[in-house]
Amino acid sequence: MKVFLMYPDRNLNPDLKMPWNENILVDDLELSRIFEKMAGGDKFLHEIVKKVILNSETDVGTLLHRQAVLKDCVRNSADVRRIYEILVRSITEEKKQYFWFSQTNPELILHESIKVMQIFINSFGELRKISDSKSTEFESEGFKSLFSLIKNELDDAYLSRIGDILKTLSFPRGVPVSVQLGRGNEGVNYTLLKLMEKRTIFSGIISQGREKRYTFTLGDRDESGAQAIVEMRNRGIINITNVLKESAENVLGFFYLLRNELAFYIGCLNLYDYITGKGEPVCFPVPVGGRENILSFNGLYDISLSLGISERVVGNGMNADGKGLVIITGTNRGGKSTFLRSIGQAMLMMQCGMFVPAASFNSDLMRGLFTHFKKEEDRGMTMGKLDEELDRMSSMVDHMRTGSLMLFNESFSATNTREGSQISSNIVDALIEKGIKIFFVSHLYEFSINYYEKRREETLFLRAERKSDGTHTYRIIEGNPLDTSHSEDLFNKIFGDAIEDAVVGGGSEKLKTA
Amino acid sequence: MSVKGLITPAYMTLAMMAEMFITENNRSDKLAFESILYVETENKSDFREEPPDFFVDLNLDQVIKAITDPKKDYKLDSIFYNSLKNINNVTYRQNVFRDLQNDSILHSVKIFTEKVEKMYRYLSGIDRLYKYQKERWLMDSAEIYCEAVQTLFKDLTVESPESAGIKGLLEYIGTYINSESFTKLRDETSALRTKLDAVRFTMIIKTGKIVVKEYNGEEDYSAEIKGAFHKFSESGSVMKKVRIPQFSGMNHVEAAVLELVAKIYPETFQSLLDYSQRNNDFIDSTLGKFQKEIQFYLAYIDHMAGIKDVGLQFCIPEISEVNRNVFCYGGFDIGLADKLSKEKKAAVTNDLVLEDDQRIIVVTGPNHGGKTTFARMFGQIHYLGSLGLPVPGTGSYLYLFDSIFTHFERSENLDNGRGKLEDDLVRIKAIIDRSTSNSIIIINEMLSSTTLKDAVKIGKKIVSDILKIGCLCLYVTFLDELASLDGTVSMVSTIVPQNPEERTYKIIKQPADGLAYAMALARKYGVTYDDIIRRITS
Repeated sequence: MKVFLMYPDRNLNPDLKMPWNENILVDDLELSRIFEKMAGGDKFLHEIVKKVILNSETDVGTLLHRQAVLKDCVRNSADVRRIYEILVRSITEEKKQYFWFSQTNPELILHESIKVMQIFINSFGELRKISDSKSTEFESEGFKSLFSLIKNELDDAYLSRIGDILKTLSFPRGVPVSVQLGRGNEGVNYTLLKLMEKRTIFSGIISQGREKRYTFTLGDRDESGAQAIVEMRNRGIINITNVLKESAENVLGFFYLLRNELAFYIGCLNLYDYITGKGEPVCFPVPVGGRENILSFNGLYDISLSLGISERVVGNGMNADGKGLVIITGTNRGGKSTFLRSIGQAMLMMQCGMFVPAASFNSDLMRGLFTHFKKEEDRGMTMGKLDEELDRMSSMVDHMRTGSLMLFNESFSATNTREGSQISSNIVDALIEKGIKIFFVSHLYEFSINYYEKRREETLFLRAERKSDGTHTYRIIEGNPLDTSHSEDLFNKIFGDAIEDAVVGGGSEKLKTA
Repeated sequence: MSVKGLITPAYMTLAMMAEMFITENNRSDKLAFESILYVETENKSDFREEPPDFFVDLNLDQVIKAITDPKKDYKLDSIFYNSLKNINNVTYRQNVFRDLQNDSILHSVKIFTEKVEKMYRYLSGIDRLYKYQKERWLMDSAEIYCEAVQTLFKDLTVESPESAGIKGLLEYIGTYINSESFTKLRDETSALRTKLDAVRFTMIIKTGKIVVKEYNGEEDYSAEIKGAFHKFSESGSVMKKVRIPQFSGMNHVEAAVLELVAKIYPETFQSLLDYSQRNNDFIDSTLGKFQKEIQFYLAYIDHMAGIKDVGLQFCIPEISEVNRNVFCYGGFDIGLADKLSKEKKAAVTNDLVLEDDQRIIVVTGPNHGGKTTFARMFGQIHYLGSLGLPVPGTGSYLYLFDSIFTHFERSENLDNGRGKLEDDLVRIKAIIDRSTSNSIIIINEMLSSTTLKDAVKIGKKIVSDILKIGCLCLYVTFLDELASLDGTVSMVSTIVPQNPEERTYKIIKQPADGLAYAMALARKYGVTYDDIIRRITS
């Protein structure tokens, strides 16, 4: 019985490994809040959504498959949640029969397996009800084949037949077996028989008259005899015990499987409900195959930021089609880091088949995502800060491939601007050569102007928008690198003096008296 | 003897079992074949049940025990205690060994004996069984027996044995298989088996009752259940299956059920009882005897195998009643070889050759050089050869002796009040008195408790007495003088010249040179005369 919700042709591996830079990505892109909202407190959901989001898919077909399933979930949110709840509940109830798998006495195992199967049969009945009434509302391949499976494999006739069989397996009238004679006339080939269900009075009398039947009765205190009878019963039921046990284990496996396939979408629903409830835009992105640089969007925002505040956040638009390098300059705290994060988040979300936090989003597919964000001074470190940055860069290089996406945030600025620019340019040139797409937030003027002068055609220049009065709009707009990075604004705010006044004249003495 | 009247206590051996289920009138008198061990009579009045006196000295007690232990139940020891006097019996056995060197013949024979052993296992304790159970075990045993006999005949016919023994057996079986008694047994057994196989009954097992009735063709429910749950099965599932322990043997509940089944199939079960009455002594006595006697060969073959594994060889010796120019190439002490083979080591081999009129081998040389082992080897090889067995070595010519006498060192026997010298002399005199020219005497160190001069005098006298008797003798001694007497051949245990301490265990024909050895040893430790003069500073 196969269910394919996560892939068109196979199941999700619940033991997916995280990428090597798992922690870096989670920190830099502030993904924790996203995972938490999706999980809604459920540890299992948390693990699944994290694994799925961080293991980007590179097949357009898979992404479209998942988007279709997700769209169905969004449209039929209540029903999907109900299905999930049935699965979780069945699994929990099975766990309550908690010793059924570890018994060694066949009759006990049979008895417990029957109970567990009964639980599952009931759950199948409930799934059938949903499927019967609502399957027409679902359009995705994934759900269509799931409902078709439920409808065909678990129809009423079948469920009731199973139910009947389970009833007979308590053997209310004794275990019927046929036996033959082996070596030493010992009983062999114990074959469990199907007894006639109903015997009419007449058939009973007539057949009893003709057939020979004899009864052996156990003596009152014959304990070894009682044990012998138990062993004979076990010989009769051992085959079906194994069938039932295996079936129960497999059905349980099927429930786990379905739960694993559905869990991710439940997480998506949790996020979707919240974010649309808040009024933020959400759309299904258009993944583009091939090796051209395609990336354009409207209204893209940092969803993690939005999850953390009650107001809505600023969205951005951009068209970077044909561009392999995007350089973002501008004032501090102008929204550049946020912008960078929103790119990373959106790419991860697109490449696991989710919606993205934007009004529209088109992109080609990345093969691996890497972030290099400026770190706080680590006081415990033995390396110098630039050392640490370069070391971090180096470890990333091992894992990069053509088609990877690299996000730099104020990298290599832990030195003077000339040296920093030099280092950055060398790295960027090499990465471009290798076909890696780069976003670089930098206030190293030498670096940005270098690319403005030498590679204007392949590079998109963006800037944090700043109004004439110096305030930020937190929008990132197109614009070439400017001479100053408006540190003036900050200085003014903190020191309360215009920077020119502070510089003219003596120096620190003057500042003190101001 | 019938099955019914039997008491079969636990200590019953398989050999004894063979006697019980055999009836004398099953023998086919026409054929000459009776025994795989003897083709003509030996002098039966001399049949020993106790080991000969020289066994302990030659370590043959340990050797025989090692050979017969794995087949304890067959009590083969006494066969090994009786060397053959009739050369035709020796040849008879040797030829059987030759046939058994053919792996297919050996395999067929082994298979046959294993089946017969299984049959005896079925039959042991049969009387303690329930009604209808014991009769069925009897039938099952007869089934194995019939199949085993027929298969042995078929296999041996294909394998074309050449020895009189196995050929005789094959002829015997051929006639036996076609006899009325065997064909009747086989056909009755087969017919009864068919009837019993057709029995199929139904039990409805409740917790305190079992209803037993005819099987009415009801369907196999587990097949239906399996089909219904099929969609929940996974191909290639490696899930652990529930298992129930397999018991053999019937409990009283099953026995009671069986009696009820007998009521449902009265004709079949009465046939079973009748069969058992008619056939409780179905084993042919000659074949039963063969089963026991062939173990003599099988036990020895198994024993040789371990020693052959480390590269040593056995050969079938030529045995003469007349010619005493014995030789043996590549021989070894079989007891020592067996012990060493368990450590994956091969014992050192030695050659021994007597030419012209040489009768007495005098063995001298350093202590622990392998002289005693060599003496044992000489005795063992002759003894084993006289049993018709393959002997250690690559080629061998032996003498069919009438007795072996050994005179090995004994610690002072305080009981008989004699001193050691007196004891030695009394014993050797007894040996000399009893020996004939057809005997073999093996002396391992004597006269060590007297002066050298006297020892040489006595030793020479003993050697000359033995020469007068004219029998074969091997004499291990420290008296080099004896090695140069007329009529003796000298062999010496050798050392590595550069390292006098190192033993080679090789005994070679050369004059005694004990002094040369002593000198080398003294030089190594710096205690020659010159060394001592030099080293002691006055």
